[in-house]
Amino acid sequence: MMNTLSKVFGFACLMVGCTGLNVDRLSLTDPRLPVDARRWVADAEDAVVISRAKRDEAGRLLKAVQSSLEKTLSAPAFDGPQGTTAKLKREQMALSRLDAATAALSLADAELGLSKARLRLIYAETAMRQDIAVYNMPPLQAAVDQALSAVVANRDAHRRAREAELKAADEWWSAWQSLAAKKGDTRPFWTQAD
Amino acid sequence: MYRIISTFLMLSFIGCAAPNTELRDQPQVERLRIQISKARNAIAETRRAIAEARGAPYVVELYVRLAELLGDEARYHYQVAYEREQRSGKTLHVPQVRFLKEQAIGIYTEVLAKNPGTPLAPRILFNMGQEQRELGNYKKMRAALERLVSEHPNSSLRYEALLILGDDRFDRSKLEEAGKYYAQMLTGNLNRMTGLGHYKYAWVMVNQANCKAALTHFRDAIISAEKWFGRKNATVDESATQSNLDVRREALVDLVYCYTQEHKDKGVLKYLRGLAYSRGAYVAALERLADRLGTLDAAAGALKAGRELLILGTDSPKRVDDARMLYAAIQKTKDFSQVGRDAELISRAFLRQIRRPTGADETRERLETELETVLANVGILAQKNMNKLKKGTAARNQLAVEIAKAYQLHVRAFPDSSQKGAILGNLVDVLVESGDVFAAGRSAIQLAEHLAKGTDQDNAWYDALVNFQKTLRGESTRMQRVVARAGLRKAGRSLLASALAPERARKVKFAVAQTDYDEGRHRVAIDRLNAIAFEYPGTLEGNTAVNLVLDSFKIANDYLGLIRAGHRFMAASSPVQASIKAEIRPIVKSAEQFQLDELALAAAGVDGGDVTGDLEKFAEAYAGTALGERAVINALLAARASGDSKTLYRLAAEFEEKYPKSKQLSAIRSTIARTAASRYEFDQAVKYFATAAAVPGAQRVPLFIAAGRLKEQLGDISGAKSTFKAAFQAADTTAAKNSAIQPLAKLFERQGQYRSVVTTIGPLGDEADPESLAYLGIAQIRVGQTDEGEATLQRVLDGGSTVSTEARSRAHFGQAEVFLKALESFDPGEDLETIQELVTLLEVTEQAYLKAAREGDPTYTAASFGRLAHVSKKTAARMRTIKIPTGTDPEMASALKKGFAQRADVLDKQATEALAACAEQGWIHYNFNPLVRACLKGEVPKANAVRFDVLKPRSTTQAPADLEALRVRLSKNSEDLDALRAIGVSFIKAGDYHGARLVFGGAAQIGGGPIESNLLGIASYRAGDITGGLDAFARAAAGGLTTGRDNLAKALEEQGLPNAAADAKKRYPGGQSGGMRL
Repeated sequence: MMNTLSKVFGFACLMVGCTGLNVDRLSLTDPRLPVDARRWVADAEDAVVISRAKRDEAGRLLKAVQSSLEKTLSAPAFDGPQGTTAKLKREQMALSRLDAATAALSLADAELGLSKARLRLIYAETAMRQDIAVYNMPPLQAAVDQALSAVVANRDAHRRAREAELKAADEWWSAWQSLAAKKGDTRPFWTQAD
Repeated sequence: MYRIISTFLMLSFIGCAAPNTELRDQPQVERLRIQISKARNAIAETRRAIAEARGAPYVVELYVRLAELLGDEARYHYQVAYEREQRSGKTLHVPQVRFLKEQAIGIYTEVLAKNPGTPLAPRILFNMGQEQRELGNYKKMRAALERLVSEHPNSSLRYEALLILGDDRFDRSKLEEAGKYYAQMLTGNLNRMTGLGHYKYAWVMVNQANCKAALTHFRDAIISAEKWFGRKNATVDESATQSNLDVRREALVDLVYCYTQEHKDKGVLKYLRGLAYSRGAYVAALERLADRLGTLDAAAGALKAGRELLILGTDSPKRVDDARMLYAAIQKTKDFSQVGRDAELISRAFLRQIRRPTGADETRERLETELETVLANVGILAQKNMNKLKKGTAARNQLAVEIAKAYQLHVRAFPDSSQKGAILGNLVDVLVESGDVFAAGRSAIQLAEHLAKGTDQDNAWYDALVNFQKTLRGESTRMQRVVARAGLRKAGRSLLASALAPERARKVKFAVAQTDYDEGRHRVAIDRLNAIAFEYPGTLEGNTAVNLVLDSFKIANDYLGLIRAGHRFMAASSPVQASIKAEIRPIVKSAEQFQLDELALAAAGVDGGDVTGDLEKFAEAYAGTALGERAVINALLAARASGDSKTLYRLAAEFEEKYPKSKQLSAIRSTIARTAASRYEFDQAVKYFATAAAVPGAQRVPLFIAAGRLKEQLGDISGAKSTFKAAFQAADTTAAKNSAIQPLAKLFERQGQYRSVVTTIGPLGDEADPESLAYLGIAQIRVGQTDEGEATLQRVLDGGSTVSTEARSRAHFGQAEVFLKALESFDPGEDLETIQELVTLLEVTEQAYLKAAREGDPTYTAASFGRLAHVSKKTAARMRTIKIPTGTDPEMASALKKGFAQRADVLDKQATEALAACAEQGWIHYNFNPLVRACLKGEVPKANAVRFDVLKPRSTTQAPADLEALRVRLSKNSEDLDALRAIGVSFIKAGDYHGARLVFGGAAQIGGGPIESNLLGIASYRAGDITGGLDAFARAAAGGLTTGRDNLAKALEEQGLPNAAADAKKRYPGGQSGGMRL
């Protein structure tokens, strides 16, 4: 009996497309949706838009940092005592900034993935609640959980990268301070293009 | 054969290679021939018509037409000859012309002779005059036209005849006579020839050296023509009939001579503009004027005319001449007030010719060279002139603006000029003079890029930097600010690449960094400002840079970065001035607060992972400080929100250890305790409630009470009692004392320890509130202090509507018990009056119980019905055995006995009904307390009706394993019913029924269904809370759960209530499957 039921359910799911992660988008103007449901869906959609904007911003920052790194690496060495150390520390800082910006982009990507997975789940939940469609919820919930795990992992990675960046900055400014105090040639820092 | 072909080809090549000769306009001759043929046909046809129309009234007209056609044919022949002679001006001998014209004249003469009064006479005379003129017979022409003028004064052809006559005289320099004819044209009404008449007359005046009169007639010619064309029914082709002469234009152009003769160049432009009917006419007059003023050497006027010409004139090579004239006029007048505009006009005129695709390269190069020189010269001349003016004056500034325009034109037009450096240098100077520092900066950048490395280039970069700085300091548009900042950075970078003086280098570096800061390029600004702060400590720029670094971090919302930078600046090894360190300390401190808030905010919003990690690190970094304390609290709250109890307890312990004197200690402990309770971590909750309560403060009493209640629910009665007592001891206000004493009194009451209630609440005296008094009153009655109890309960009722339902129920019930005592001890003897008193007392008692029942408290309602049954039954028995006073009339005695028996019957019935009502409370309110259970058994409560089940001791305190994930879910959503159910079932399986009872109690509160109610029933029943168990089973059964119904029936059986069990099965049909069995 159970076997038959599960077959029927499976067939019904196939008919309505509830076996995978494909979820139909709900329209906010759909008259079948009550106000609360529309608000709920709209919030989830907003979250995706915001996450995407954050991801784009993180992408722009990464490009800027990459460009800055290239210029730093190609900049001439500082003349004078501590010049070599200063150059090294500066490059290390630029690299750590790149790591942090890369981690920030990964985090933003993961957050965008999470917001999308959540939106799918919310579409499905709302559709089922309002008798609009039937979906197989466990895979959708699992996708959200998986995306959340990715966010958690990326957040921790970003935190570590940021800490490393700050540490590298401390070391670079310490080296710079020594270079300036010993009247080294600081011009390579200033003549580098934006 | 081949030879023939090759010869032919050769000839073809020769023919093809011959130069193209310009062929005559053959189609024109052809056209004329066709016209001649047509004229001839018309002539033949007209002759035929004349032959057929002899005597007809229109024959004169046919003759005139014939003559005209002959004249036309003659003209065509002349034109053919003219074309054949390739339009040369030499005299033509065309015999056909003379022959045809003479034929025509003959016809005209004959017609006029035969028909002297014909209305066609003016036309005939005019035509004759024309034919004679064309044949060179001027005398005959004059005779014909003068006859027309004299004999036909009203003919429209009269004016044309006068014109021809005037022109004839004029051509023969007979000006007086010509003037007379032209003057005759001006008589009569305005007509199409009036303007022309004025114009012709004006020319007579010019030739007679009377410019004043000529000027008047030229003007009248324009005005008359304008009026004629401006009249209502003017037609377009009328201009063609006016001898193909645009009088308005010609008069305007021709009056220039006389105007300049009379007035020089004074007001000439205004005069011409006022009379000009079109731009074309005005430009034509201007051209004439320019020539005339050139002749007169009037430079000032030429300057104005030249400008006007260059502005309005159509594109033409003539404009270059005008531009040259303008340049010459500028040089001569030294009027540089509009030099920018003039340079633009000159430049435009030249460039239009230079850019003409059909222009020759040589011409182009020549014009380019000329223009470059002109533009450079006007600028330089004007600048020399400007340098003579006083600095800072408006005139000088205004002139500088104009000169700058001229130089800018030069730079734009000749980017590769050899003079570019000098021109750009001049341009920067005049732009600075004009106050346009933005443009000055841009030009300085151009100059610097143009110059070779060296001092001049450095100076140009420096000029650019200074001017952009000035731009940014003043009012500027967004575009200007963006460009100025970028330009400043470029200039600064270039300057810094050279060996600058340290003082200058410092300023340049700061200026560059400031642009980044102003532009919101925080990442770059922070780096550059940091560099300045460490490179130039103690200087104005260095000190400002420190503040700007921190501000940049703040604007970028990067508090972590701000704190790190702040500490770098404040470090002992930092070269930053001590005063600056002191200045930034509060900024850094504030940032630390913000950072903590940010971290707390972030931790509150995250979905998993190490949510407290950042906060803990922060707390570690600031250990022992208020900030560290706040960080731990925030971490703790974040851990609670994320359901991480392990971290929560660890942080709580850490807080206890590191901040033992914190004012937040009690709050933290109580938070932990409540969190533990909400997660059903009972031992932790009890522990933290107790430790929180140990900290002095207003929260001690509620914390003790919370701990006591938890202990009571867990079966630790003695522990609960001591905790409630501690709460009472800790209470220092009346309200606190009352709230502490009530749970203790309730516990004593449930244990049947009424004396303890009296000894506990009694000392409160007047401080006891009605709720406390309700406990005391009942207890007093139970221990035999009836009068005191009655008085106490009356105080409860005196409390009015503020008193709770339970307290009022207690009060009424207690008073009913007092009445019952009185009733039971009342002996009516054999006196009828006392018997009557007994009945009254009975009724009062009944009413008191009913009043208590009506209050609606389930426990006391059931108790009241139970006791009412007892009273009714007992009194019924007394009624039956009551003795009638001796000596009563037998009949009366019999009636009384009968009456008492009937009353006894009523009371028996009432007893039965009351008992049933008591039992029914179980089914109505699911209240199966010991009294209701007794009622269900049919037992009438003879003694203390209000009784309670006593919880069994807790069988285990060992918490079930693997509950953490479920607790995390509960922490995130306290209404997660699935999690609650799973936890409760784990408790049941572990044998901790007390714990399970609390869990399912929570589930019931958040809307659990029959399954949860059934589980609550099992937990309660097993924990010894029979009443609660039956209540929960009944609710599950009422919810349709078959197992719930079965469990209710089974429990009722176990409690010795088989009938009730059977009744339960009848009342609740069940239907829903699932659920745990008892």
